[in-house]
Amino acid sequence: MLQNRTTDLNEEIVEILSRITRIDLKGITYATLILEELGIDSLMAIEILARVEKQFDIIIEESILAEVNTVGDFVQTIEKKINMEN
Amino acid sequence: MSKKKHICLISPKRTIWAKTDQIRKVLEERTKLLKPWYSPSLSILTIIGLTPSDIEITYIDEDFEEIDFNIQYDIVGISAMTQQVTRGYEIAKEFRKRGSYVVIGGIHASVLPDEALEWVDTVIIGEAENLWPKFLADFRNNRERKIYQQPQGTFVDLSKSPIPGYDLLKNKNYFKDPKYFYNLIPIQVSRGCPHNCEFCLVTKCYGSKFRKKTIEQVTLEIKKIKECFPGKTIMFADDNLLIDRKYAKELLTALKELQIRWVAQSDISIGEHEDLLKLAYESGGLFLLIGFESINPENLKMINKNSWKYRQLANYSSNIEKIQKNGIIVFGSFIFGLDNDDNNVFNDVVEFMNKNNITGQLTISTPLPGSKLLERLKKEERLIEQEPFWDKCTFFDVLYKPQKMTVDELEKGFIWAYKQLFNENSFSERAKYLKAMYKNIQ
Repeated sequence: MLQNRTTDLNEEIVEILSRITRIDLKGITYATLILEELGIDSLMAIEILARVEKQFDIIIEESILAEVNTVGDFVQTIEKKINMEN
Repeated sequence: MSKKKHICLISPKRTIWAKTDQIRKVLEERTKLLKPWYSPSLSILTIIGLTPSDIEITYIDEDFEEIDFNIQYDIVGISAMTQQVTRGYEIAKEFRKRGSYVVIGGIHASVLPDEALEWVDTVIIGEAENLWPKFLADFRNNRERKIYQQPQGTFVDLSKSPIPGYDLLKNKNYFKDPKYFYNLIPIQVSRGCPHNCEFCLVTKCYGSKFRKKTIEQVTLEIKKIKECFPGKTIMFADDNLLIDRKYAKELLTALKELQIRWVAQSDISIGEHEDLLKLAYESGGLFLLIGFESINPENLKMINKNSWKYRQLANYSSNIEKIQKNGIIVFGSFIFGLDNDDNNVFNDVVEFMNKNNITGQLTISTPLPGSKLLERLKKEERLIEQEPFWDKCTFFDVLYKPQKMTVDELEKGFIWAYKQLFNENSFSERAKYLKAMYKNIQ
């Protein structure tokens, strides 16, 4: 189970990851490695970013995924981005 | 009771990118945007699946693990593509010196069995499903033969092919290296191709008829992959996964239930089948690798006898658009150095890829042993290396004189094209397009 999941927003982001990777929510924690464990490469990453952008009405630079290692990093980065744009 | 037999199955080290320093350097500099694909050898996994459980098996992928030549195996089995085979022969020599029995398989050894027999004890020619069990039975009875081969013109019934031995890789350390690791898990559901292209050996080795596994078999194999490697993207190693439209529909429908992401090879005519493309996306399809090979009509006319590739050219762009519109990324494959390529080819292909928002791979025309291309080039005295040049068959090295440019121009143009297509700006442009594509899908 995802640890320290505090907000609906975080859950929504993880749900997108789960939907795109086809990995059950139960198998995703903040510590899950984006590349090695979720198998997200640069092409799959584009689909994830598109879904996140659409859902939260934000624009995310593609380089973002090169800078994050874990699901926790990704959720935090998106959260910051949403807060900045609001 | 006799001692349990021990087999070591080895995939020899391969060259990532090119042997030529200047080409390799440019490609390596782009590893952030251009990751090599790493996947286990499906040939070896199939051999594992065919090996009885009373035999102990060790699997070594030399890209990740060093071979300990001091271990005494009863049998060493090597599977090698052409570019790996020189290393494969070195490995064979070392193990034979120490008394192990060495057997080799794979397309290279299948087309050049006499060469292989200078290095190994036995060659398995062609598909292993019927031959490997025969070899093992003969080995146990000390009556092994030098060559095992399917009767001429016959091919394996894939519905009898075993589940590849994915289990054996579960505990390997090949998935954890932060730099390189197996990023794709292979599965093959069909063999055979009707197109018989000049540079390719698939029709020669697997026949022109499309043979396939049953949907039940494929489902079981995918369930096994999911159990062994949860979360890994599955790579269909088929040469053209969707060529039999009826089978493709059944397969994709079954995949929908399995919750996977997958990639595969197909041809551009799939763009005319939007029902299949919709199913492909819904079933987890990420990208289709499509062999465009060239956008020069004269090149395409030469590639295969019936000019099938040439007849698709007029629809390249419209079919790409239809594939993308349905949520599947087009991963195009292009060959440089074909006989009608001149200095304009590099710019033409870069423009085509940018205009159609596709990513992909660029390769250099490679005369593989056993191909019609190699025979023609020998007659035309255009090879720039004496055979055997097998370690240079990387698809990123120039091995023969192009017709309408120099070797230097081909190498420089190839590097230029990679620089144009794989940089932060071009990646960002493609990503914008693909994001818009995904946003339009419900």
